[in-house]
Amino acid sequence: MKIKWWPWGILTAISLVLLLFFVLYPLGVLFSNSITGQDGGFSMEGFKALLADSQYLEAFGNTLILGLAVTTCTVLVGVPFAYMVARYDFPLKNLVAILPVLTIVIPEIIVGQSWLLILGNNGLLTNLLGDAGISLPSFYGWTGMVFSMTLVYYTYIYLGVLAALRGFDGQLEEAGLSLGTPPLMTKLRVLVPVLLPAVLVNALVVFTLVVGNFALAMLLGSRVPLLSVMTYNTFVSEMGGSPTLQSAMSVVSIAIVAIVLFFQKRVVERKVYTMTQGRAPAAVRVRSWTAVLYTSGVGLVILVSMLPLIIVFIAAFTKTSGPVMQWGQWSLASMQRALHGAPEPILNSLKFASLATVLGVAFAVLVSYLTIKKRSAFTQVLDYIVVLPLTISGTVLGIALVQTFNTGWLVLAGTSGIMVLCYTVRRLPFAVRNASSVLFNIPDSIEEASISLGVSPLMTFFKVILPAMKASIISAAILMWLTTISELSASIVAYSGGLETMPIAIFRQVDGGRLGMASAYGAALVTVIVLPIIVSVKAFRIKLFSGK
Amino acid sequence: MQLKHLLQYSVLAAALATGAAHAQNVVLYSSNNTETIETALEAVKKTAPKLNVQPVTGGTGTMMKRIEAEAQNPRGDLFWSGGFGTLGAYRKHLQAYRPADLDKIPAEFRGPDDLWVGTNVHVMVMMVNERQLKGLPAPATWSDLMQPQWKNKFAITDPSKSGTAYMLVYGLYKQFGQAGLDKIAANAVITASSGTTYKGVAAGEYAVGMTLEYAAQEYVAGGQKEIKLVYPSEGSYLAPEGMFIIKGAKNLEAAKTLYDGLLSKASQEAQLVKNFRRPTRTDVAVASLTTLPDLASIKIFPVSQEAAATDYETVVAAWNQAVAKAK
Repeated sequence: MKIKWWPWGILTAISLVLLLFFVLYPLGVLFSNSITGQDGGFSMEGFKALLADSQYLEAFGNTLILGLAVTTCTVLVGVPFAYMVARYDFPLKNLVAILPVLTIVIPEIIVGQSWLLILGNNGLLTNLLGDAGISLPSFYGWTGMVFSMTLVYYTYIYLGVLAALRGFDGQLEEAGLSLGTPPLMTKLRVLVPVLLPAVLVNALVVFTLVVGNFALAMLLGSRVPLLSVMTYNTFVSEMGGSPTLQSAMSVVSIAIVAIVLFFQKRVVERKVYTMTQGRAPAAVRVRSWTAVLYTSGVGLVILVSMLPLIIVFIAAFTKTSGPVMQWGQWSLASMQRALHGAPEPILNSLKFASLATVLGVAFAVLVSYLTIKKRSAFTQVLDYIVVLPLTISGTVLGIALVQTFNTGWLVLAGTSGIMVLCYTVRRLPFAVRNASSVLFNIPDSIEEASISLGVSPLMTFFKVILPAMKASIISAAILMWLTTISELSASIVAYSGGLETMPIAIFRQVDGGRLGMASAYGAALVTVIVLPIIVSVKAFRIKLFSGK
Repeated sequence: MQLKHLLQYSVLAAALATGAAHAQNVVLYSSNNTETIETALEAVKKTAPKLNVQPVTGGTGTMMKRIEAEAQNPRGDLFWSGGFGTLGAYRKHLQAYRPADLDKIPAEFRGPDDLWVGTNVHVMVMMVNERQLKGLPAPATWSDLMQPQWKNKFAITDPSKSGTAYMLVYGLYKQFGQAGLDKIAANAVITASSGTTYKGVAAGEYAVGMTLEYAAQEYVAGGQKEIKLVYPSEGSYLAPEGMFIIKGAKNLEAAKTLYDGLLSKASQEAQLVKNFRRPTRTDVAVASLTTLPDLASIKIFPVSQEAAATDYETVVAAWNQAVAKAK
């Protein structure tokens, strides 16, 4: 195939260079470390050591099981949830539809700590039930991890499926029905194949998040060895470990996700259906007992995912002495101390997240357009590189970037640049996935029509494609902004004096066992994130998560 | 034109000069929690009001990795604090400095060649959560935890992950040998950080934690009634923690001021009273300022910090062997 260089070829080349430099090069440093022996020559000793370590193999197995278990649970919660919101109208729907966003906003570490406060061995509910003679199973280990990770990650499935449902052409279903197929059969035959890519894409995201998760895994899984925790701990090991072993561990976790990614891509690409109209059927208003059922069903999911937030706000105003919470006694002390120290971390968070979002989304739109609509051998490469950050846990990514850009002609370490870079690279795959899912649904014929009418390809992109993508660009931007503003694992290794963000401030407090202060920071962070979203949704009538 | 330039430069120079006179910036890398840092900085502020300290925190390991990674272009000036063994391992990134108050610090709490100095000293204790004992009597000695009824009931931190945990395991190894380590490893839940151990005991995940005195005392002082401290009658182990100036520090003079400040009597007393960090200085009276016992009244099993650092590989290997046997 002959490649036309103007304009898409040039843009592909520029994108490739940027990705090679900021993503592949730091990863290359990591890979070369994993096969470099102590004497500096080629060596497989890191991988040999891993294979010989039974604890490592156990962690490997546990990670896969946890990933599958959590992904399954998120699908079971997220899909029906999205379906209810997209297809039915019931009381309080508008309220519940915006709430899942909050599960993305609340830093994972706060979620874990809050649940421990409720269901841990010394938890409020555990002690209450214990006094009544009911003993709950331990929240530490599998139970707690699957439970809390499901609540943290089901939103990804929910939002993905909701978007697909809204882009779904209701006439297909009507056609099925008018041809005499029973309603349930119609749904299975028409809806499932269309929703499957959305479910798979987002299930992959969840799986990779679980594999890379260390905040919840570390907090709840100290009895269950996991790959992410092991890699993280080896990296931060106080006494310093072998860089070969650390890098080899990282390479293995990268490999797991890379393999999954490969299979998922093949499945999704075979199953993609192009919607010609994308007119979603109107939501059906349900009444009486069905309405009660739907409202309470959705309400329960919401309540459970909101509970950490409620606990955070209660804890933020609870009296503390040292690490001990004095439940029932109120105090403004934590909040005052947090607000006294908060302005800088808040401003930093807003600044870095906003910059990263603008860069990330712009780049993601371009890249997904190139890879989906302007396929060539080069865009295939682009497509693979852009999702690479998914395969690497935040900590490893942060250290790789700091080490790569600490010296040489481009010194980013210690500047705001490294924070923005961490955020952008880490969340780029999400932005790309988001933009891509809509592009699959925009038929090529629209663009061809525009070009055949004499509009240049570049102008067509701006005048036809971008407006068609507008809704998904906005939601991608908001999602990216939300997830970057609560990003912790990459930025915590990259930040330096004056660059502290809110999640880092929270982490420092949780790490020191100061849950009251952590909650106060958490409450401030959540307010900073949620207020603009509520205001913009209400004031500008952006239909982001309302599903109407 | 030249006059204009001259004017510009002199204004710039004046601005820089006054700026420098007003604030002395210093970047503090620290593995201490925010409250400990705030306490120290409040005390330091009284003697050095112009010092503008920017703290950057993380686990000791994370911070040391950073110092190593940034060696070509250091962004931190002073590190506070890490176990002596850890500091010794990163010797080439340390800048020697001899503070004025050094004679107040016993020799065992100083680093070699003025490379570092101990700001506080940890005592290893057994932190007991009585609510989780469920009928078992609280342990009184380290050997109690080697008995079979303690299986999976207590936590210890992986010595290869934490400097203080290493000193604990080193002490156990010196006192009870490989057989002792085998019995401990067979019973213990091994955590990846010392914070996980004491927070786990406080949260009721473990009935007992082999951990740091100050951390356990915070929960006692905070009013968590089921938490008790047990100083084992066989002898406890000491783990001093030290600070150092990072080699190539950009704000060397300010770092020295901060170093002196963190070592001062006022700072160590504040640390003791607010955060239960035992001072390394001989002129701070612990028992009269807090409910903690004086160091002299605790039975200590003596271990050499230097020997502990030298034997690191051996003892960690011994521990790993014990853990492997326990499986």
